Amino acid sequence: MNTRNLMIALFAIAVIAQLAVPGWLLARHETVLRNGEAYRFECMPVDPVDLLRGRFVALRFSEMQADGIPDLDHGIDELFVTFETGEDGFAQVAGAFADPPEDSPHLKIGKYAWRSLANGEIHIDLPFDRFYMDENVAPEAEAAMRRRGRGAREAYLEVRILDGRAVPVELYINGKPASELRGQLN
Amino acid sequence: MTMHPVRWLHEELPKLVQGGILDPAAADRLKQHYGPPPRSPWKTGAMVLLGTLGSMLLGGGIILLFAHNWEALTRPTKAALAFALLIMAQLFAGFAVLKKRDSAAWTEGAAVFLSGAVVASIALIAQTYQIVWEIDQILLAWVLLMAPLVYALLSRMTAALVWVGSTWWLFAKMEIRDDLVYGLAYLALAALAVPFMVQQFRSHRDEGRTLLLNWTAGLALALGAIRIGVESGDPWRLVLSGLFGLLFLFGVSLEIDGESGAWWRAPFRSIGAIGLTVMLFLFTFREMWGDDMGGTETSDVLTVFLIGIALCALALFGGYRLIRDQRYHQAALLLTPALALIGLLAGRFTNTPSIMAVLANLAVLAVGLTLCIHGFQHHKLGTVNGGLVLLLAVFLARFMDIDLTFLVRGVAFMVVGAGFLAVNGWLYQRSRKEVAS
Repeated sequence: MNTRNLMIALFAIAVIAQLAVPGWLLARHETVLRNGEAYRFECMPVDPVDLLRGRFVALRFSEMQADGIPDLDHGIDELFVTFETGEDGFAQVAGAFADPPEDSPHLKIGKYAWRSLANGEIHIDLPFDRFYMDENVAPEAEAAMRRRGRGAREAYLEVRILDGRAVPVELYINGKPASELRGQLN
Repeated sequence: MTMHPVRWLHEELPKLVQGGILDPAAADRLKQHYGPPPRSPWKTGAMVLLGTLGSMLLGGGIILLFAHNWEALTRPTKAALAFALLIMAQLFAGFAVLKKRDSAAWTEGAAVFLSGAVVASIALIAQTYQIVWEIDQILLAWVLLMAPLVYALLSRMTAALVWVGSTWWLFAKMEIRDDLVYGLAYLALAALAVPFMVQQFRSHRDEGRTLLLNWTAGLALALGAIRIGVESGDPWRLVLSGLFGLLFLFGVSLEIDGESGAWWRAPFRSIGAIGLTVMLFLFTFREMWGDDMGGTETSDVLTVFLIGIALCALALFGGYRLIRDQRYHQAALLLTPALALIGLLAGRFTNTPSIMAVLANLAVLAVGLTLCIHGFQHHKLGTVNGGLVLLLAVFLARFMDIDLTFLVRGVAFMVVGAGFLAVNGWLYQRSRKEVAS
């Protein structure tokens, strides 16, 4: 193979790989959106900017804990959590497992979990900590949430969960999708 | 500037035909034989620069446009847009590979545009699907997908982007987890561009694009070294001075026939020298020899110490070879890793910081004087000034440490400043006389 053909072959491989990576990402997450179980996680938004992906609302969730894991042989790197919807309509931890449970939707937590030195409980930081949205709406959403104390606004993130993965669907403020709240929050 | 012979011929031929010396057919045959006149290098350079800049701006603009996160667009539309952008850039680059391989403006522009489109499409898909990817994951994918373009399009600008992306990745990764093993991963990632750089250095050493690539790589390496050094805890002095020493020695090894060219033509040597000098200056402060510099918790400190010692030992071996070749002004800079090693050995004695600071002051004096002497001997005004600035900086720093009145300080500053000007004036006069004679 001469140099020219080698360069063309290399270029062809690069082109396929460049299409494959976003294609793979799309397929993986589209599956979760279509087939995943929906849960609502109560949250508190703050508004930073990501240089590559634009403006997002960073989310703080109430602390979640999992106790009663009998054997955590694989260490904290492999932790699978199932959720249930509580009386308030928001998700809460139903169980935590060392191996992926076969029949219920679960989320792989991995590096987002840590064990308390005080009481041995497993604390969970949810891996979906941001929600990308229109750059004009994001600061409005954050400002509205800051005044939550006075206006008692409610915020939650709807997330679909399937086979260890989670894909955030929509951020709701006062029961409405945040993307539809432009100009209505203040 | 002398004119290229073929261009000269093309300008002369019509005159020769007009004067009846050549008939038009012979003139045409001559034109055909010698081919078209080459473009002037500055014209080619300007076209490459404009092509690359245009592509960068276009790619950057598209990223920012997408970053707005249009609420009006549905998820499938956003996904389709991401792929449309990528495919458009790929077609553009494919055309350059197949039809415009000889045009640097085309290949560089297309490669840079496609590199931008790759990261833009991944970022857009990540944004659309709210993907929980940290920025380091996106950067890693970007560098890996961009690296083949360096070789497929022979693009020096893309090779520079590989260095930028790798260094950005190191910073992003260490922000999340400060493990020094990522330092090795960083070198492996950036090394994807190295075989191409070697080849370009051999064939187009003095071209602007090669210099730009080497400066980018040198600065990226320096930033990477600082990031790694900062995270290495107590052995930071060893690690950082060893890395800068090796960067400097690598730059020196690239010199042709042992001739030190202009500083801007030798990026690795210059950046290494600046790093070593700044570190040596920092070493003159007592605080720099304290124990508690923070640093990593995840890496084995003993391993880091051993790596630091190995780096410094290698640098000192290079220094020994420079002394053997009587290149004292370059060898003097390697006093920095030597001091770091002495600091480690002297660590068991009491009051080490003070002793080390005194030694560092003496080392600065030695380096400054060596540079001045070398500059005087070889009539290099820049080297003399470099030595003087170093001496001046350490003099002023020590002067600030001592409790003196403003009057005394003011007078001392004036004396030093006047001395500086006098030396420069004298050197300037001397070089003018030499030119005149």
